[in-house]
Amino acid sequence: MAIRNVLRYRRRTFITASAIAFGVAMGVFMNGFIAGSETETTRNLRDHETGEIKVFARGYFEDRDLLPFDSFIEPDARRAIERALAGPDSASRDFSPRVLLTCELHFAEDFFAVPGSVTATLAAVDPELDARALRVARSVREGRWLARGDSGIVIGSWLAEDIGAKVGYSVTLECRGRGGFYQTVDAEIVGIARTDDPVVNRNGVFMDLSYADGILALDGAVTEYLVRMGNPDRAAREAARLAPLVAEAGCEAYPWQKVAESTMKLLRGQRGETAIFMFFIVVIAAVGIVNTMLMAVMERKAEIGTLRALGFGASRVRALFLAEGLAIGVIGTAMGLAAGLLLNLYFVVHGMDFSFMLRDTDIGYRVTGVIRSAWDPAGTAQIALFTLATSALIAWLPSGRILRQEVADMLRK
Amino acid sequence: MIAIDSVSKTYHAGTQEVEALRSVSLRIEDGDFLALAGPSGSGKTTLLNLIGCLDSITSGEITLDGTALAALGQRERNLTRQRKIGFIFQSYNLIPVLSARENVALALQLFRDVTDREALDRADKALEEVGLAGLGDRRPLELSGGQQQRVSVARALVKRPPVILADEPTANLDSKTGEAILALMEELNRSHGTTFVFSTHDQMVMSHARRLVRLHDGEIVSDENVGGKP
Repeated sequence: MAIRNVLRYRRRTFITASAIAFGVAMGVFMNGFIAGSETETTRNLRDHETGEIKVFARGYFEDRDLLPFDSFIEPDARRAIERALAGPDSASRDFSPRVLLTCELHFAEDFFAVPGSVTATLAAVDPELDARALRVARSVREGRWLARGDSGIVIGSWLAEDIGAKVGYSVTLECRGRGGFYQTVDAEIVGIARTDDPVVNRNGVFMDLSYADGILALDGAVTEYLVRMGNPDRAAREAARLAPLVAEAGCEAYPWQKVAESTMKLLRGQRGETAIFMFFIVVIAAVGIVNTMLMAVMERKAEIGTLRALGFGASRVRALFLAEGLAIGVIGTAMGLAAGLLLNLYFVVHGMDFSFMLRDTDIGYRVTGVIRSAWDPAGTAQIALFTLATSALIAWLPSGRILRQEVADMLRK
Repeated sequence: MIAIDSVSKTYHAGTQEVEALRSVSLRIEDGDFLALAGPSGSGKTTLLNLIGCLDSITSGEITLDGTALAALGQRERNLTRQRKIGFIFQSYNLIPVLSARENVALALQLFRDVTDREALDRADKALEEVGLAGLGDRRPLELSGGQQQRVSVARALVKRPPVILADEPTANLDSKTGEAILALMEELNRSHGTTFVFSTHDQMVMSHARRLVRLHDGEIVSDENVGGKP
């Protein structure tokens, strides 16, 4: 009877189902899009900045975003870490010892049309180990990647564009060495890396670790070890396994989610904003269902009275309206899933180009331009089930007021 | 037997109180074919509603086969309507999305000992009994007013209740069709022994009743055996 009643008011059913469909379609699309940007952001983070695990000297982690230059992993500790990473129980595949510090990059008139300086992040890396662990080396589009003993640098593509740099140009790096002394060094740009990570493109300067060791008086120390396992989901477990091993060397191991906590918070915040948006869409759909069911209940007051006169209990009658709401929900959800999945398919294939925004503004996402949607079956199923449950429950409500009346009042014209 | 003792019913219309029935007492015997007659607002429908557990009594008592209706909980009231009372409404009150036979079978849907198949078979038989054989697949809007009221009679009849209450059953029908419906009710009353209580203000309908109870302003003004049409 519920299905027939749904078909009885075709236009109303279609309008209500369309409102639900809009909500579901937007939900599926937004969920897919957020999932896509999250996947891309976290992958780019791991591939260009964090790996799956980072090991720091004790005390570094808390200030890691400031790139402190007074907390080092000394050579003895480095050996202990590398032993732990090479141990029989290790899930680690590759690692890269690194030194991260803030530097000022000066560009002068002899190469550049407009001289000036910018603040950049200098990463001193072992060219071979870093090339295995991260994707920066594979993203060099002009020139070449670093070689051991190299005195040149590789810089990010946006940084190069911003200052007008080309391969072969020289810049002057100004930074503090270990112990706090100022060091300036001229370096030739040997490569320009166009990565999928806007932070690297915007601020990244890469230098050979052995060369940096000399000019910064590092004495074999580094600020971090970056570890790759190839399985981001196991990072927390592997970090926990490494923790006691590296603790002996005065170090701490953290999974990438902890290292990139601010980005992860941003992503969670994005989920929250989406949830609020979804809430309003659900409210719109719910109002549609309530309105439809309220009209249905009012119009069919005498029918309800007739059913009650035949001996149907209030709960049986309410179940009928619940079934009608559910049926409208099923139609709306099916329409919405079809539309949402098609929309998502388009953005999975073509993506949406945000380069106009991401090029000059750091919004926290590690995406350089085109953000592609992803498929999120669990999230899609949640949206569908939530919509169906809401449709049924909300349809349940309007019948309550009528059913509290005496049957005679329901039958009265 | 239905015993009505000093039953009153007061409605509240805003701040006003309307006394629809004033201390009405009446005995309805099994197998009666009784008409409640009177002008609009006399309390006929109210009395039928109270007998049929469709409304609550303000004061007094109605017993159906010895059971006081006012003492029944909601579940027992549902069961009483389901098992003991059939209703025929002035506007037929058929469910428009169901076919005639489904409308009739609906009355049996709550009977746990009746399967869906059996309910539909019994609905077909009931429709045959009221002269609608072959029209079971039609929806209410595809039937004339008289045919719809016959479906309504079949729906009341199909569960074989001891009492059928009919509120102005011929009011929306032309006189010829109304006569036919009354003849059908009389026939069912005779053949099944079903008690019929129906309200009317139509002289023609009253002439069919074997017992005529007249109401005016919520009170019974006469109660007489009139014998009905031969």
